[in-house]
Amino acid sequence: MPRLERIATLIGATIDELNLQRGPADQLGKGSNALLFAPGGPLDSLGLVNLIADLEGRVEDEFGQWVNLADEELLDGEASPFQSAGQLAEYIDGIL
Amino acid sequence: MSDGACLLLADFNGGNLAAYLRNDTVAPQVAVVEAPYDQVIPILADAEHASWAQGAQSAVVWTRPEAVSSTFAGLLRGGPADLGRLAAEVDRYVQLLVEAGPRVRVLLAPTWVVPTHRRGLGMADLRPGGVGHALIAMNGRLVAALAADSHVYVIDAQKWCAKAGDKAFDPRLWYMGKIPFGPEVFKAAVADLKAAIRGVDGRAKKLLVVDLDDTLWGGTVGEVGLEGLILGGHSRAGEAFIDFQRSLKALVRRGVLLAIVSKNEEQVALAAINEHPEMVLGRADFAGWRIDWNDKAEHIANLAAELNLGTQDVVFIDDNPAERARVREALPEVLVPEWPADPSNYASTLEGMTCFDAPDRTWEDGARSQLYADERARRDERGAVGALEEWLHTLRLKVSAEQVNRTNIRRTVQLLNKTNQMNLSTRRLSEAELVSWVGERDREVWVFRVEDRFGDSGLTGILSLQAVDGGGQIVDFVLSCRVMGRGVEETLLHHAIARARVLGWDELLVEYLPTEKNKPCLDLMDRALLPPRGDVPIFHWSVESDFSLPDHVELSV
Repeated sequence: MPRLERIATLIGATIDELNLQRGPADQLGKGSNALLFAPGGPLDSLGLVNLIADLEGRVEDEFGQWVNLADEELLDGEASPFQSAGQLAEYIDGIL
Repeated sequence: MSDGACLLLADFNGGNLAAYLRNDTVAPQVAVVEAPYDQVIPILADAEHASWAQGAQSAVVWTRPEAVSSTFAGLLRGGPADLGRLAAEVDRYVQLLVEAGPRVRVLLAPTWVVPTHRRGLGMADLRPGGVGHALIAMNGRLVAALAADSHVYVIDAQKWCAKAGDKAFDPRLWYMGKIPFGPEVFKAAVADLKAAIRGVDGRAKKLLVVDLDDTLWGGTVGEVGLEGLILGGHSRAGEAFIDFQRSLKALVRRGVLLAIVSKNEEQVALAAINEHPEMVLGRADFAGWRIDWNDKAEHIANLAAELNLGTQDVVFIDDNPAERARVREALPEVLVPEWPADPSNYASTLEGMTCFDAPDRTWEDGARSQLYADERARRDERGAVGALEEWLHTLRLKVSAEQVNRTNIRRTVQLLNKTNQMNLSTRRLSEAELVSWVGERDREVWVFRVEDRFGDSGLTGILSLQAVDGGGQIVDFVLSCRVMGRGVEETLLHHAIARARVLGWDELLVEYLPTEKNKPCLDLMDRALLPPRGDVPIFHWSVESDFSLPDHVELSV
């Protein structure tokens, strides 16, 4: 499986985990364009913390390499990779 | 829809716990009130704090040991272990919990844990000066101090951490969000918290129905005979079935009723239970059984009705997936757990179930199977004796009445909170609430013990009275279904009228508050008292008129 696809699968698993904390009407989408931490997006700051902690662990387990997703510079601006699952997968693929 | 709110007080970011608790799909649905972060002690100390005024019926107060005890915080940094100071700090915390307890129906306090990566003094950590030693001392003191408290329950957070394994503590979550535990700890906590809330609400499961072949023992008794059953001995499966039966026996001793529904020849199956030398469970452990070739779902519903329970009170265990599916489909309110294929996992699966959790255990709980065995003997004899009146006179029924007091209040509250059918107003009160209620002027709470020649049914009736304009009122009229239909109902009414006379009331009013389950109470009042004067179902009785004590009952006060 191509690395980008493997990362997307990990992000999907993280979203499944986050969805356990959310009500039926509030579930996060898993498509590559589904919004995550973005203006008008579904994740609040606590949700983002959970996403980062869970996903960092999964990436480390899968690829044996730690990626720092908690860099504050990543969180601001239009270039933030946390805006959607697709952008996040591409960002992680780029730094691995 | 939410069944009640739970207040979360934590000295860490409790957002994750709140989210899991709020969105967990297992009943009851719980609304969560999150108190401000890291304000545990001020909120516990302030009964007027807004957090207590949001209608929460339960509370979770979850603290880290270093936040409660500065001595322990110092110890974590290599400071001295002053156990005297540590004990005093725990005592202050306990005092706050005890004072806060009555503000909700139940307050749950997880034990203190430290992250498993902390090795402290290594092999010397459980000696004086070690973090582990101090932690055990703190938890021991907490547990001992609250062991008899009627509102505050200490629950074991160490189990949640063990279940979560190496994911119990995630430093990333701590440094980014001040969340000390990983998600698996919170999920395990939610399962226990909900079980506790169910237990306090009287919603713990009461009846466990089991299959026989390949469930209670290995093999099909109708084919291999009792000699061929896999039970006991030194085989893996034989020992596993024995352990499963031991676990079932332990549940019976906790007060859970056990019954059999099995597709078998009844005589053959009962002979195996009676005669197999390795059987742990005996016939007296079963409150009832249906052993034939008919539909199990129908039998489960009938057994529950026979034991005066609802099907929502039932758990069904069967090794056969088809039988489980059938019961799930026919009786969705029955809990039918997925059951492991390997008997080695039977006992651990049963022991891990949270649905039987109840806050207290009374004499009546431990003796429940015997009480039902007595009832079965009564029923059998009633069938043989003929007319009801004649049978009642053979019972030598003795009812004793006493006012609620310190020794009987635990059982009284338990009965009040779990009785549905013969329950006039279905009031649910905590021990402190009942004490407070009866402490007001012109109020009395009487409890009744029932005994006959078949055995002692224990404390099975409650009658509470209060003065109202122009007379008095029965507020609670509660009778265990175990003793219904033997004249005990009329005995309680007789006593109520007698007390009304002593208290100088002219008339006694009885307002029936309908629920889905308490129609038997309406039928009784309809039959025994004067009918309501208007549309409101308030029955009445003029105290000038006697209400006769049934002549087969001996009442002592």
